[in-house]
Amino acid sequence: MKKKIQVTLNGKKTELEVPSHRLLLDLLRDEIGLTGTKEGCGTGDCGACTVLLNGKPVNSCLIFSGELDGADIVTIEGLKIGPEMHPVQRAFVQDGGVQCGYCTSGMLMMSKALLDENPDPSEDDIRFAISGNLCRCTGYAKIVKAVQDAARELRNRRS
Amino acid sequence: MKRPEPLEIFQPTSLKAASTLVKEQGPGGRFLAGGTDLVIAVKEKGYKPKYVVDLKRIPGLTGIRVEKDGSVTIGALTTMHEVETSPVVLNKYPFLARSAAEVGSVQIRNRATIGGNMANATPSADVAPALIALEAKAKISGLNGERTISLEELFRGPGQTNLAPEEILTAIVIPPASSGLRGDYIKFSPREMMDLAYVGVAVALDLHDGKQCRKARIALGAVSPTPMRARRAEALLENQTVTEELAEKAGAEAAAESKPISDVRSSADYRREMVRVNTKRALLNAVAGEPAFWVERRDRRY
Amino acid sequence: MDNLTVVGKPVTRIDADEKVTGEAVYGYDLVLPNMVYGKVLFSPKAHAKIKRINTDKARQYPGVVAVVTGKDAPWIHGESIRDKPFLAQDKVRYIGEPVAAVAAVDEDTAEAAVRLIEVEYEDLPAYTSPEDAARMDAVAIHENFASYRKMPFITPGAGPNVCEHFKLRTGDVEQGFREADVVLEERYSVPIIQHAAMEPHSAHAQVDPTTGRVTIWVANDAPFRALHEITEALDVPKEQVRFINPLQGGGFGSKGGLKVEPVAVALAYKTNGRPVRVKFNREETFISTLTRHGAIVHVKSGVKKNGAITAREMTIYWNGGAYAEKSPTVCIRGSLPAPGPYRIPNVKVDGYAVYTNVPVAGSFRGYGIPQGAWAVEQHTDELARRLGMDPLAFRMQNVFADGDTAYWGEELHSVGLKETLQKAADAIEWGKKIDSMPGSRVKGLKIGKGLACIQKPTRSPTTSSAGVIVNAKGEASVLAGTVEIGQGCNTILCQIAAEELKMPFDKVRSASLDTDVIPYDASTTSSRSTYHMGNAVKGAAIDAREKLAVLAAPMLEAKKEELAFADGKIFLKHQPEMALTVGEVVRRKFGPEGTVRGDASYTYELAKDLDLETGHSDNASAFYMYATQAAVIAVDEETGRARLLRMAAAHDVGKAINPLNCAAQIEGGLAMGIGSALHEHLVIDQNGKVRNPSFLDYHLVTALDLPEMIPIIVECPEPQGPYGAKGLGEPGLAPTPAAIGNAVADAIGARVYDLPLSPERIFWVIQEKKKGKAA
Repeated sequence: MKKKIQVTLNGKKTELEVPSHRLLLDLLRDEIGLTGTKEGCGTGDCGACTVLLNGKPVNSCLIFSGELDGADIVTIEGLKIGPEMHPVQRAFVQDGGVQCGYCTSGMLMMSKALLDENPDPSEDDIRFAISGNLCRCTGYAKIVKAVQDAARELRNRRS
Repeated sequence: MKRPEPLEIFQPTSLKAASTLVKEQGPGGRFLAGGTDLVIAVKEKGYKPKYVVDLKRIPGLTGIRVEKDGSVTIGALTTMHEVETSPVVLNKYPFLARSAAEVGSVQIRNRATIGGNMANATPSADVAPALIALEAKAKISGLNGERTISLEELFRGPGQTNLAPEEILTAIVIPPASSGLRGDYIKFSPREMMDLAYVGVAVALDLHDGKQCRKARIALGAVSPTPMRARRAEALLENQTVTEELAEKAGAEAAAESKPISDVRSSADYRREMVRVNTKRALLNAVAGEPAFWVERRDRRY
Repeated sequence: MDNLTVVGKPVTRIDADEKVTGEAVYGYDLVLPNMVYGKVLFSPKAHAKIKRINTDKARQYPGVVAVVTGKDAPWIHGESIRDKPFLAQDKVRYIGEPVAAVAAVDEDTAEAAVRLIEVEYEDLPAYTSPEDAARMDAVAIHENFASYRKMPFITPGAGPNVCEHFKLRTGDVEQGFREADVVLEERYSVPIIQHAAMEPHSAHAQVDPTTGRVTIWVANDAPFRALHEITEALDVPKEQVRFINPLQGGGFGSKGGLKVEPVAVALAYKTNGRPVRVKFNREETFISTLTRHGAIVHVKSGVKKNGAITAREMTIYWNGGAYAEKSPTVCIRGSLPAPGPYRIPNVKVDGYAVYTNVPVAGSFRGYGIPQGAWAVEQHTDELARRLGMDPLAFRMQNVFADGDTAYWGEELHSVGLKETLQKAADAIEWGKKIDSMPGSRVKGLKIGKGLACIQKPTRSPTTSSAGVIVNAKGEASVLAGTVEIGQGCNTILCQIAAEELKMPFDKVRSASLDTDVIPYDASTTSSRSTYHMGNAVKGAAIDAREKLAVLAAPMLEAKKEELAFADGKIFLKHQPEMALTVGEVVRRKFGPEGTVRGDASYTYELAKDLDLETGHSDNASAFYMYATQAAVIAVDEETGRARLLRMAAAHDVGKAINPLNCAAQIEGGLAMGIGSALHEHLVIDQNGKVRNPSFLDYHLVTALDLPEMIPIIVECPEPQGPYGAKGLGEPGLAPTPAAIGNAVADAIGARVYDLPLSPERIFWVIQEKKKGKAA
């Protein structure tokens, strides 16, 4: 049962014809070819598939394509600001927040959403925000530091 | 774990149209709110809905508002994140906000709705005990009009409610709060987050002068087929001053009332013990007042 | 080691940019032209005969390209014991064993078709406990075990399911117990856990219909070993199989061995040349890939009042699961040093690797060390307690130091253990009591401190080979078979190459891994890469440098010996302005597309093989890693919930090639160790069914579950290692549970013998203790 939907994907208006039951994660990865969004569990328990839906971080593995008409979707591929990396991306590189990198896309989308809402998060705010993003490599310490550094950089830019 | 199979998703724009659709399409359908439970049911429990009726295009089902009589209406499609951060809820019922903050992750709470969570009737749902302790009511719309029942009565068993197939839970209504209302919710689970409650305990006390308990409501999650009231424990507290000793006694009574099962997460015996300890703590926390910070909240649960 | 320009510096990872932009392509992401999609039917039975399989309906389902069962894939593989079929042959041995598979035009079709396969089973008795399965009268899980092909060092045990019996015999333990003032005997257990790398498992395979050549795209930790194992099974020459490694989303040992690969290959033989992709979802990854060995550890020790250990006797049952996989070598390399890094004159160890009807256990970060350490390091605290000694002082008195002969007969050198003990203890203010948690309103909190230390060998003997190619643009490419699984090896190896070539770090990059072109490497396991491959890359870079010097000498009208290298240039030592860039040298000789290549191999060889009767060896390991971790914990006595307040981890790495990366490895290891201590447990019921195959109920630690973590790098150089480096990948999690267990015991005054230290387990131990006191 295919359905026509119109979405804004990484800033571009896009028309898609998709099976209603196809999950957003599979739609992105298998049908559109945006494999930056990762599948870690498929059940909303790991956060690797986090994307921004209408500005809010959500698990793309738990959303039917059939309910997406009119949605605004941002994936890791849309995080860059023009040709430049987002400060949170650069901070992850600088601070060693990346190891295997498989949780990184989701972690970055969650971090970006946090920083959009809270420009000066405490360590606990950060840990609370990313508690739905599992990472098996880093022990989170360097990720937390990267988010703090990105927050500082963003605040500096604003002032 | 299975992939979803083809299904039709309807997106009606009125309650009536939604209920009519279900009537016309016949059994085997399912309403869709945030989808965080429904998609899991499809993937993990082999649930195969014939069709899905998405309620998110129906206007008027979201938002939190204070009514003239002081009661608070929470639209069924209000997300857990909205409940968690709502100034109204934080001000009037902080422990309800906290119970919403205990659900899943930020990502889940941005999708999961309070109505969807109630209609899914999971025994361990975090907001259910808090709402029941607040004596919340469920507003239900059907083809023959509206009805309102107590939320406690909505639940029939694990995953089962007293809603007819075409009936839609439209709002949760919390009665006016007395100025002496104090409450707490403790989710007991091994991990700090991303966990199901092994035991959930909510208490709502009406305290006179911050001491004398005029009314007590204790609701428990994950220790019986449906979220339950611990009525005998409540009775022990009424018209008494809540001391540590009394809280201890009420905890023991609540434990005796609970009907937990053993599963992969925990044994029934341990769950009973945790009802005892956490009921005591929730009562004492309620009397002591609200914590300000997340760390302190975590510390109190701990 | 003076004047290092890149080695020893905290440079950022070379692969970070592609990972933060989502451009990196992992195995799970890979799409091949014209590919078909595979789906597996898994056994629902722990131990059963297959009476009948009917695939007719699946074959007729529209869109199905191929259906295979054991009959279509009559191949058996296995690293040390060849016992595992590509698809079940006549019987199944665990719930989750692949029985049949379908390839179809899309995933939905494959999933629908695989459910149409009908299988009839006849149940057999199933074992989940290795102690039960090890009995002499147990039913054999592998009836034809005797006829299996085995590596020469395998010594099967007496019972029908014991696939390896390791023996260590030093001195006379009975005599040692007689000499002791205190003899203590205890039993500890460690449950089965899983690696749970964030990327689930997958494999792609294609068979060229003309040549029959097999290409496998898989994120495998050890592509050369996998290539050997699969060619041996298929009985084809090595040239007939090629492994290509896409990027890997974490490994921790799970991605060595063959899991999804056999099914993908079996299907690829039936798809007329179309590539097949088989992806396991998370649940399938839990039940059908690899786990860490559950273990039951019996330990008995004798000590004198003065603190000397007179004897230690251990019996360890390793739960191998349905197939041998790495069980024999985990049993050997885990049981050998299990008595701990202590001077003990009389030692006896019996390790049994046992077949059971649970998912297959494989290599896991730490390779048998965490299981032994959980027992022995807590046992050590109990011994100290009985002697009235401080656990740190007791360890300081007995641990290995330079020049000691270990109980397996090897003289030890560069032992950084005492330094790690002291530094970890200092970091948690060892000896300073904490009575209550500052600011907490919760009553009944008990605070405790604990520490634990380990020594970890590496897989030996092994070989690594590498190439380094320098081009005319002045860039270098490192050809190494070490797999980037997240640990940062590509960055480390490029640092080493840049150091030896004296080139800017940003001009050196890693080549992608393809067994057709990359030189041999034994495996990316056992914390061996920095040492072995580091030595190989260092040698290859020196080889390239020498070749460049030979080319440059006439260009600079000098003798080779008069040349020096720095900052990407070759110049005259005494006249530095007489210089050419490295790229210019290559270009002048070979043109703009020319290259110069250096090569080297490094092999650590044993002087004498392990003696199978005594377990003795002159040099059992190329090097040893030493570590101590220390924990401060608060236990809520009313609920049993334990919350870590601080953990320090001091690791002897020999030399930190990249201190940033070392800290990252330590923190990551600690987090995994903390998870295994407090939460993780693959719950398998008595019928052999995994009850928690999801991240909802298999609990990895979240960002909120971790305490303040203090990584401490200790550098006690290993003379044979590159720049003195040893290894670091594994020890991060090895002493963690024992350190936490000791802290819990310190807090509540009672010992917990089984992992994980869940609230419920601690709660009941506290209740038992209260009962004991009341009685």
